[in-house]
Amino acid sequence: MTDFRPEIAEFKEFSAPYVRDGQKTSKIMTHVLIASLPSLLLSGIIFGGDALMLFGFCVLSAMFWEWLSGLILRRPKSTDDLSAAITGMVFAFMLPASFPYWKAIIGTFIAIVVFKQLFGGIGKNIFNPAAASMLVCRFIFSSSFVYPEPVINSADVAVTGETSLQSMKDAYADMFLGRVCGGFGEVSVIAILTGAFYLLAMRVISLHEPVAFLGTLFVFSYIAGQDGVYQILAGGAVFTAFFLGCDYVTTPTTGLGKVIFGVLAAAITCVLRFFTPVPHDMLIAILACNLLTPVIDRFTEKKPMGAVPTAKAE
Amino acid sequence: MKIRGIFLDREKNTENSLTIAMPTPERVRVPIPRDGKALVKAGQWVLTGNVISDGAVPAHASVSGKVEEITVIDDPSGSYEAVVIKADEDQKEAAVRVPRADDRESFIAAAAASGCPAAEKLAAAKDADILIVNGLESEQYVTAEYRCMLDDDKLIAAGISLISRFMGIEKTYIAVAADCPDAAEAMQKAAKDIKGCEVLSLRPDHPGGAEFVLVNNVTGRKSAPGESAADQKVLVLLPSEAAFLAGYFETGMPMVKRRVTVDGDLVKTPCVMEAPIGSPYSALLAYADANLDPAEKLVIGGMMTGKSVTDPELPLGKGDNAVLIFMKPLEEGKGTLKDGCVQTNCIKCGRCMRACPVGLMPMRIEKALIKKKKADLKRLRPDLCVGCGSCTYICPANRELAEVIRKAQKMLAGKGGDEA
Repeated sequence: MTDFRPEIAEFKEFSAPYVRDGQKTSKIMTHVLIASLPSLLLSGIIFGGDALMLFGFCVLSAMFWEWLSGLILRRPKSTDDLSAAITGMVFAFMLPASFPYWKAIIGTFIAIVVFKQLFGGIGKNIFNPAAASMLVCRFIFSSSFVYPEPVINSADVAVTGETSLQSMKDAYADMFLGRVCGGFGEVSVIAILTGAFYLLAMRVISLHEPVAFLGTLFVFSYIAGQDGVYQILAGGAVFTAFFLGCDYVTTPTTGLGKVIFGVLAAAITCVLRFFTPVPHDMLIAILACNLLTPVIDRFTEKKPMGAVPTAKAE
Repeated sequence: MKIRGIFLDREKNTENSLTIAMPTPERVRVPIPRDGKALVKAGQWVLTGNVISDGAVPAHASVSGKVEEITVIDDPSGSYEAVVIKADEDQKEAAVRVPRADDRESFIAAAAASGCPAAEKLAAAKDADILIVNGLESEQYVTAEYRCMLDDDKLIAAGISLISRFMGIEKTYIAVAADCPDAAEAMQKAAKDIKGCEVLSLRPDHPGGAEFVLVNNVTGRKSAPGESAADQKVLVLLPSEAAFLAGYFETGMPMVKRRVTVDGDLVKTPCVMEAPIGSPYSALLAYADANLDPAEKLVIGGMMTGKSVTDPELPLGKGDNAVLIFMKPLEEGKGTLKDGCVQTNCIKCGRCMRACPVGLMPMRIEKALIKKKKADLKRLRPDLCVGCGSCTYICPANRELAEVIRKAQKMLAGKGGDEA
């Protein structure tokens, strides 16, 4: 069977273990991309082909920046792990469907080059690249964040071009299905939940952070005299909980850490939203908690259970 | 709380092969325990079963023949002495005395004289009240204990009653992996007549057979950091050790051979064989029709925890349960041999942390090691690592976490690094 290899036996030393699970970073990222498909599908239905084109453009431009920065910074080729595609995907989902392409490519440049590669590449970025870049874009391109009306709007809702959080009068069912104005991938709660269910089933994410985030959002809104369910359904809170808050690199690792992250992020969001005029509260909250992640990680370290060290005995 | 591990692909090619006795090799090199000295001189004739060294657990001649010399063998884990015996034509067994045991002390002493590694466990767990027979073989390829449970079920039963009688143990659990129903059935049959013996079917995850995992999952007793099974008054033995002790108290033949799985992608007839202690690995491989030419990797023990050796002439030790030989991997996928994978940055997914049976955080240990922060390492306790290899196995970024933890242990033990 193997006799055709005319090599001479040369045993090399290896270190245990000698096998691997086939798990790879790119596989995890592929799962996340698959989880974005329901949102993509619904955004195509709700906002038409523009949304799909913008999505494809953002993903490809993010991949392009990843490739180019790898070339210039002389890093090993990192486009294969598809993390840039995820960044482009998350970035695109928060944009209005009518966003100009030249601004989108600057947005992905800020995400990939500034907030990821200049921090050291995958795994070393402090801020979620997509969220950080989105916050920057919201400020520098604020004129372009005009949300187009959904193509399939229900007849009885007056279309104003305002997001649900601005108008505060969208119906629950419309927000759940996504027939409202907003970032084209984050308006449809049902599509995001479908993708999130896939990620949970594939053991890519855990429920700790989303439950803590959305739960705190609900409770805090209720205490502040607001409609908790409306706050969860509006403004991409579910998208933020599952796609920004479950990013591996910029959130804590342990279950307790994830819960703390979720609670903190939701609390900051609510404080900013209800008591201050600061815009983009949710993005600021996520980025602030990204900054706190190393601290949370440090204080939620697992205590080892204990066993006999056998490595020395042998 | 039960300790969960990770699932490995079940890859046991030899689970249905009967144990075959390996023909006597031309020459054996019997390792001598580190605390002992050889009692034989070059030129002396020995018979199978003769004592050839002293020490707490002495070595015995595994073949009969002429002692050629006493050499020093260089092993990756340190050098040790070995007695070289050239086998003669007619293999004769020494006239061994059937050991007698009246109480616990004499039982432990007799077990130690047999040269069986179980003796150390018996001596450590003098006041144990629970015996666990550890039939979990989570590692791929290794089938020695599984075949022992199927073939020597009566001996195992005899061994359990013998040990529990002398050690004063009332409760015995036989732990069998849930994916080995035949072994569980054989053990059920064997355990039927023993009082207080129960067969448990446990999850076949890795490292389910590690002592502290077993003690925790079977008895619910928690081990504090640094404690062994014996500290929890639990005696953990392998089925082969129980079977051997039963056989030893029947015939008096000390530990001169052991059951070994010979497998790997270069082995034409993967098999389980009974080989004399001290046989060179190459003899075992030759008997299993292995092709050594394109080989690159020789693993003694399982794929997760075994040691990698570069010299196929090294002798078989008492604890070696498998000899696996591989050539370069040709395809990637689940269960792929790990070399050739490209290491990428850690993405903090936390899989290593969840896979670790001890609850270590390998990725943080790695970070502390890179930054040479000794204070952090002290807190993260890499010294508690049991070396199961799950972290490296599971890592999606292909990082060498098990190796990193070994390095961290060295750094903790030695000087250097940033104290603060």
